[in-house]
Amino acid sequence: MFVSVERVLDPTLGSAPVVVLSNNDGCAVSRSDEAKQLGVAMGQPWFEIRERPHLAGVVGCSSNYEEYGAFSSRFHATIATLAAGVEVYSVDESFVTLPRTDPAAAAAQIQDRVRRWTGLPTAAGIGATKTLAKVAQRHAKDIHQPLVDLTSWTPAEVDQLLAATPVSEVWGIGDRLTRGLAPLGIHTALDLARANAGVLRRRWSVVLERTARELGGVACMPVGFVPADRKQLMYSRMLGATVSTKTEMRQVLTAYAATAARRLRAHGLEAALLQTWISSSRFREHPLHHSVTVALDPPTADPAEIIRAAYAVLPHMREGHDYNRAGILLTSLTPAGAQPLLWETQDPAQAKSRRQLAAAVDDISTKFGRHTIGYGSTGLRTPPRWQMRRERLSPPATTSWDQLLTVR
Amino acid sequence: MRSKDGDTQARRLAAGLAVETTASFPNPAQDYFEGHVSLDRNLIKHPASTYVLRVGSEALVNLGIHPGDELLVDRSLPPRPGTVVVVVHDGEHRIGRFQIIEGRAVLVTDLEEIPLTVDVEPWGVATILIHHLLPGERTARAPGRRGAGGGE
Repeated sequence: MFVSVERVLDPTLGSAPVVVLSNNDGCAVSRSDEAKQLGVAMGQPWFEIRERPHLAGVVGCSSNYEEYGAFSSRFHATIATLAAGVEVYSVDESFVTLPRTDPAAAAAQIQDRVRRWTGLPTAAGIGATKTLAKVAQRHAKDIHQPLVDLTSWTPAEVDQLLAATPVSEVWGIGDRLTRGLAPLGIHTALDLARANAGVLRRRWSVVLERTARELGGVACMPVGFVPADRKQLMYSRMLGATVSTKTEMRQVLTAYAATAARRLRAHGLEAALLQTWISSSRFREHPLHHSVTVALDPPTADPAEIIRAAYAVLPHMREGHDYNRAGILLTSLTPAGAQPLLWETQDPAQAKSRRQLAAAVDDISTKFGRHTIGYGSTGLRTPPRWQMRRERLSPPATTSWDQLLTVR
Repeated sequence: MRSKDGDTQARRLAAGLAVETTASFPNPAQDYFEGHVSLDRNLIKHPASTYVLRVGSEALVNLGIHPGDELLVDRSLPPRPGTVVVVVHDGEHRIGRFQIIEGRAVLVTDLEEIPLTVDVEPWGVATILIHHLLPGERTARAPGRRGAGGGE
């Protein structure tokens, strides 16, 4: 999807080999067909791509998350104008319930509208279950077709496709499961579909059993499924430049903790446990990793408290050592305000003024934008030296009034 | 002041939403006021397919469309003769008036005519023109100048 968005914003990229780069412009995470044909591998480092003469024409774009989010919103909104049962699965995927009669026509209509309204090409898969629909969609991408409708195939044809699909490519099956299933003789999606459901449930989980049954055509996961309550909230990023002083690392932890706290508030949650860590590159001779866990009592979503808790790792930091990554993990999550306090562990007047401060910062951010105000150095306009590098960013042409897409 | 649903009074007033009154007698307007007239709701019929574009040339100055203006362009509408449409031509977004001349679709501007062959994709139809009347009030920068402030 990312490459497709870049092409909508810049039509000159239409038939060029284009890749979108990961955070800090590290490696190729999205590749156009032309880039794939030139041999650019998924996850290939950008510095490597730039060095190879036969890849000289490859255009690299930094991840324009602002625009990808905007187009994701349009993508899902467009689908919703044609279908009632829609499950927004990810930034660029949706599950849709189609009519039983001629689902392919309904799907084609949706794809056509998405293309017209957003400029985004899509690959679609139709199946009796969500898991089969995912298999169909993957097959559509493999054979460069916009749509594959398994409900119009014979059972033998479907089995043939499942036999040719490695179990590792089935939705929900990761590396660990793939290795665990191999000794049972389960190597393909067909093997999994035919495996003993009871064994799968007992040895692994009901989730695996559902996946197997769905591969066999039995729908177990309704469209529009409500996700389970969040168990944890993590914000961890590699730094755009190494940090070796506690002064700068305090800024990093402030920014990361503030973001984690904002997400916590957006989900209406509070956390009782915070883990904060910093580390240096594992490619070094002697990499360092320091991690501290802090209890948040009472559970909180207050940015000031979470930021202060994140500083707990600073005393362990070795000044002068080049650290390249930091992270915040919030666990023991509960809905905000769910637990009445058994006793007041903090001064109620102070707690109230903290809440008002957090609310005021929220209001200002909502009204004037996220980068208007922030805790500590996160309130400064000048981006910090260590911020995520995105040096090949296309203009935010549908999300910034000052840089709108221009017509001549 | 926070109400039960966590929304502040300041935010609701700023958004033009009704707020609770503290007097013991009821607010006679409460069942009637539903919100101010909204530009978004009234001018944008299809939010998912409507984009804001900036005008970067004098191609349609004779229609009153000036550089620096904004255009609301709806990609869900088909081009019809006489409408202002956006196409992608030679890697660029172009505007012009859509016309059928001698059976062929053509994009007409004050400066040129672009035949709309299969390679030239219609992108969308312009529905609303936004022209700013007060000089220097725009936060927008005129196209082609990076980093310039407002004020013409």
